[in-house]
Amino acid sequence: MVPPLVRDVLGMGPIGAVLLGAPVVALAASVVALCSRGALGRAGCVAAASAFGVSLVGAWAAVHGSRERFVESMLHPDLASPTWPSLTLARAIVAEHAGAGTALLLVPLIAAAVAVTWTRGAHGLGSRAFACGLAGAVALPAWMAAHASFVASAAALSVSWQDCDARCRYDAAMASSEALDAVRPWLLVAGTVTAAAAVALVAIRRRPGTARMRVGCLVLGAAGLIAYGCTRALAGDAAHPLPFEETSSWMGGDLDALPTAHSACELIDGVVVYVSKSGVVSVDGAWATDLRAQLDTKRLLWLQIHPGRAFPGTVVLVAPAALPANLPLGVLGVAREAGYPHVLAATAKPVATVLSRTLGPIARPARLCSAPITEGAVVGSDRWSDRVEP
Amino acid sequence: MRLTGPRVQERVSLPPARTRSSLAADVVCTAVACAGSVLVALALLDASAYGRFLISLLVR
Repeated sequence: MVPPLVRDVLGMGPIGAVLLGAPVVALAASVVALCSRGALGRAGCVAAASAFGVSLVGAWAAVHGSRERFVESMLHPDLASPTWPSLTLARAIVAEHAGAGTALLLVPLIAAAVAVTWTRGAHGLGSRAFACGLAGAVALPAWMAAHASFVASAAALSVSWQDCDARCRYDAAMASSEALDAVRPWLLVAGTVTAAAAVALVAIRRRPGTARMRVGCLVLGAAGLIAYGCTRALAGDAAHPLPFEETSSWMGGDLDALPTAHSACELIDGVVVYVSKSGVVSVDGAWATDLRAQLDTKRLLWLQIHPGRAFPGTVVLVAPAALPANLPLGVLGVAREAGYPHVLAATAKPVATVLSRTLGPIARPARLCSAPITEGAVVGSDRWSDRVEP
Repeated sequence: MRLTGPRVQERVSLPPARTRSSLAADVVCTAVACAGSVLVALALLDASAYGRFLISLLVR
């Protein structure tokens, strides 16, 4: 089976073959240089350095091309919905992957700089060619990881947006973001290989390093520590994204009056039947003079609009927590008779505060949720809230 | 033509000899530099993953 990377790159024609072969040439040149103890000829040095350059160009081209495709998929016309912050979301994800691409390209570049600095004058051009070739070879897994990450993102987000609700889009974005985590092991492997090679080069070096070289290395190490420390808060928040919670389209009253939601908030789409404190029943905001007839009408209308599809038959029963249970349970019986087997109780999740490391406390507003209903007798209480399963 | 006569003492500036301590210092410094470069890359990667948190803020 041909890996997606190879298939895509070969699809670019002769340029693709060159881009694909460059890291291989770079790796071969570094092996030859190592075996010849740094005595690689001038032609070999030029080949290794050229392969290194082409490797970086190939990595950049892959990242750039994938990003373009990603932007194209994100800015699809279907996304131009007022309820979906498409441009903001696209900007966030593109920035995310641009950063990943930069990180992936940075590793071989820094490694090459370090290795070339240390090998200057030690074994002549051969050692420097080895350093360049090795760094170019390290670029190969980084390139593959970046490409795989982009392809996964584009595939996850290129789902049919017309059939994709907010939950579906949230899941797709999370899945694409998780693909980014796959890059981390590649980074560590590339860094370890490069570090081992650089240390080996230093060990076989005849002359000791100058004070400037050592200070430069320590500065680079300190910069890494500072950069890593400064991004811990970002990493902490990235590891704990806010859970998805649907926004409520129901604006029919005070959420505090509803039974409290204890489990994860999930709102099922269905016909909303509201029972007021005084026992007045309304369906989707309209006063229900004949509940059974109105539910029948809605069911028939749904079947006409969606021919050939199974009727979901879901009713969300909105009733104050303190209401006697017999009123909503009566509505439940009518709904069952009208062909709505799934009747859920509307519950409210109270205002909550999530503590983030970068933005501080984030207030989450009260939300309308749904929960199953206990139809059996409840001893000692006849309140509606006692019939809603926790 | 072969030159004969008194041998010319040629001063050659040889590089300083590499001691064990200088080798250890070089190896440590190189390892520190490589670790630093990897830490910079990891920091960039983490900063990039922050987009996941921003998305979760937006989609709600």
